[in-house]
Amino acid sequence: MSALVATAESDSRLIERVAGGDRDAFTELYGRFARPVLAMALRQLGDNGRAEEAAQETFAAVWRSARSYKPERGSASAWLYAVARHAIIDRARQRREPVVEVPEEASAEAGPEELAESSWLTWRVHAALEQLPERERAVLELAYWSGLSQTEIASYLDVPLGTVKTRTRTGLARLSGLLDEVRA
Amino acid sequence: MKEPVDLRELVGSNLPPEELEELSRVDRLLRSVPAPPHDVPASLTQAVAAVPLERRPPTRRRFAVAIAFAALIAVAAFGLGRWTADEFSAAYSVELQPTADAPGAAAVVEVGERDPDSGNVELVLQVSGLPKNTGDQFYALWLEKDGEWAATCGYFSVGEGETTVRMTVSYEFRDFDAWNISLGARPDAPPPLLAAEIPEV
Repeated sequence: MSALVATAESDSRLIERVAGGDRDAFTELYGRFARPVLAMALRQLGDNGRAEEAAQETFAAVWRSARSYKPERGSASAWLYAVARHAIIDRARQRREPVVEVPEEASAEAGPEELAESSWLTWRVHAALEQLPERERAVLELAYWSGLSQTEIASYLDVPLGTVKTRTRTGLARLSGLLDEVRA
Repeated sequence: MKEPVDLRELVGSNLPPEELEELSRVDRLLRSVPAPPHDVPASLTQAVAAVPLERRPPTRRRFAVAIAFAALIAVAAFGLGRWTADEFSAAYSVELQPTADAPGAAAVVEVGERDPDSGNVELVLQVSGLPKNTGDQFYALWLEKDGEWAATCGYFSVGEGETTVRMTVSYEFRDFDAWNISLGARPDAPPPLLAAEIPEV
């Protein structure tokens, strides 16, 4: 299964390059994490404008503090998650409002610990999706979150139904490697 | 919205049991999280693109040198009766016209030369006649495209009389249709209080 995982430069290595002032690495890191950061900011702040501001602050903080990342203390994704959480909380405090964790379908009645776990799980899944080839990511997002049937997805993407199923299967397999040991 | 169809229907029913079990784990994960945003706004990408170009925080030694240098500059500026704002060089300026919602307001945006290295452009906004902010209120200078709020240049408050605000952005202004000033933020789609078409420069 892991053979399907792309051999892209690791997030850790990218952060190390960012710490050295490498703008290309920063752009690559933004490409991988912009949507997970924005998704978390949207869920917690509740509006697009403030979420964008928090996301902008997150990446500014990544640029400023990349040198503080220590791979031996945890994964790059976890470090980025913490940076994003701080930026979002700071953004909420500027308006003197508490951070509101928008209830997610899977944890509408959850307490703080469950919400944090749910947020972390969502972050990891969204970040993993960003590492898929575009054609596989598009099929999975349409299959799981658009409400379209596979026949409708095939029509929408203008590809045969069999191609939709193949891309779904390979995309899920690739995600399995990226999300090894993560359980819902 | 409809639930996604069963995994077997998504991937076909002829998978080995071990693979199906592995894919089931990922299937459950995907069903347990909300959808990611459809896309990343161009305004965010543009704003973040400018981030690496900011100066890094100075080291302690450099910070001390910078403080000493800043003090020297401040003394020199005081002696000459000048302030560094005078160093700003406007490439052109845009006068925003008040709308019916702010008949007594006036604003001018002075647009600096684009820095060839970073691509950033400094803006100096001079605004007057807008009601003083109360509570959490704030004004925004933003750029309009196709009738919608497309990019935010910055948020600000005003006091009595004229207020001057400096902002730095990296937008290509020719990509937009108009400058606007509103009370509030993008999601609320507040009406412009002052507006001007993007001039052809």
